[in-house]
Amino acid sequence: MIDYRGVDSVKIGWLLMALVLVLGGCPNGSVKEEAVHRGARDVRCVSLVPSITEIIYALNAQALLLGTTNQCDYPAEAKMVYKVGDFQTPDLERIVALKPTVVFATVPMHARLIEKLKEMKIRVYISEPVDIASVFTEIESVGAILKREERTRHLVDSLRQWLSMLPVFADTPRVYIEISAIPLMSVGSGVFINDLIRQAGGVNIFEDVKQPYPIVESEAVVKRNPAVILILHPGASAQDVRERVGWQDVIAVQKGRVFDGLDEDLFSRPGPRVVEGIYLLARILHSR
Amino acid sequence: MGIVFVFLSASVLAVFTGPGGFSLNEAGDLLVFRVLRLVIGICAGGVLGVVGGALQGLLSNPLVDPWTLGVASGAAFGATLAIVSGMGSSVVLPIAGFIGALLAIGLVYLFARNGGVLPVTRLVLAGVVVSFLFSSLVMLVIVLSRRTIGEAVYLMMGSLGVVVTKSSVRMLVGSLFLALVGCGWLIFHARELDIISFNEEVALSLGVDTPRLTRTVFLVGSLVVAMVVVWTGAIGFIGLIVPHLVRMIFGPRHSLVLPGSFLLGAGLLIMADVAVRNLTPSGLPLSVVTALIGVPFFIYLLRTKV
Repeated sequence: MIDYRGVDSVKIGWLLMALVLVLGGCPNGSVKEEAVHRGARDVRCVSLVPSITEIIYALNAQALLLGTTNQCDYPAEAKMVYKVGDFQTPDLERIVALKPTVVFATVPMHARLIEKLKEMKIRVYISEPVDIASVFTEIESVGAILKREERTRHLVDSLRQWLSMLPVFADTPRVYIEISAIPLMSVGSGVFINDLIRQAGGVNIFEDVKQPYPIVESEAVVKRNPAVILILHPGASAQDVRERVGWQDVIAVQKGRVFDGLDEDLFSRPGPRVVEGIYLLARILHSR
Repeated sequence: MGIVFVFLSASVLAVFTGPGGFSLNEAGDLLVFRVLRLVIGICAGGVLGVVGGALQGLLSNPLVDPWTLGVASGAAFGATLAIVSGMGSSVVLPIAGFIGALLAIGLVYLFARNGGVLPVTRLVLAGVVVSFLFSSLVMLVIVLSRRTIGEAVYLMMGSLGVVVTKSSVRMLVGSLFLALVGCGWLIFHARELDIISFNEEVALSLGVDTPRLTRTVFLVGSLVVAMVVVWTGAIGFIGLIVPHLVRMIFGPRHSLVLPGSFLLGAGLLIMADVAVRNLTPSGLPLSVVTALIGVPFFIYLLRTKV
């Protein structure tokens, strides 16, 4: 039995508690460094949306960026920025510890987080672009918040001009976009990639389906007979699709126009690389 | 005879209806998909019915079926592991499913055993808990491998929309064949199941090797369920309700109950699938429909038979 007499346990208890409070409440050392380094800038932002992170870098405003998510991986420098968590589950504490003046988030993914941030009186910009036009509007809005009007105008103008140089195509091929093979899942209306396909001169065969990510049957795909198939997931290769029983009569399979290994980010991120994505799609859809 | 009618009408409906159109002309080359769905559906529904009936007889427990005993979810978990490691089209898939199913039933046996006996409610409790455990593990694996949650839902709740490639066709046919053979084995042992469900002690004195038969039925049942579940995902309640419905018509003899359960299980599952494909704009998992019908029935069983 250890003899506790003579040891002032109360004082030690207080010391331990103080230590715990100090260590526990102390945020990541590098954050403090960054905050000091940035000095007293009036805009301090945290981006929870990978496409907005790309916009921030495109506007050369990364000095104002304090935190990003694990999925914010473009450009490469963005990977070095302090991470506040996953895109799906960012950590409220980490965000608040950075003392941002504005947080870029999206719905419905961050709906609850946004409520909490608003309760704490932190400004939130909600990103919800559904087509190209709203992407340009979003770049302008973000640029205004970050006070980079000149650069923003330049970026948006050059993107619009680049987009306008897209040739007019003679045909509008039907496209089947597959985002999962088990179960078979495609893209319906209201999803960003629909507009990209339209701009690139094609049409999504399931554009009329109200659900954003419907489970579809092989039968439905074969019936709608797409001319191009885009595999946007790692679960099946173009070769696998060609070998699918019953799919041999699909035009896309007959003509060998099944594409895999594409950079999905180009098509799903409503950011500055959107026009690049459209050009890539156009090349795929209209190549012979 | 009503059962045969249900089965036949369901099959006909399955072939003639679907998102591709309602006449045979229109659906010409789509027939291959419908027939595939029909065959898989017959095997799945039939297997679940027969195994449900056999387990209920063996354990003298009206509440057991492949789902409430955790077997289906265990097989689904095995299948998930195979799929996310990229081996979903190889022989690894059915093997992994079988191991998963065995693991599940082993766990249930361990949890529920009380002395040498498997009490009715304890068994179902253990089974449902193990089922939940494996469903959660499926979700975990799917999330960790950064796939969409939709995939997890279908693995856990069932779908007949299996996409088959030339390389996986052989595997599918082989699995379904094994499943049918296993069902045949169970039906062949109908008489022993009759005796055991009557009274275990009497069974022993009549020369039925109860422990050995129990183990073999578990083994064969797990194999057969796994062979189907790795393709369709875990479908619940068919194995539970169908044997009871058949017993209401034919009485308790397994030589009638088991084949009847195969036919009725197949028929009902196909019907559920036809409903889901034509009444909802985008496919629902099959367990949604089977649960909506099965849960009220389960409650009825709980109140009258336990």
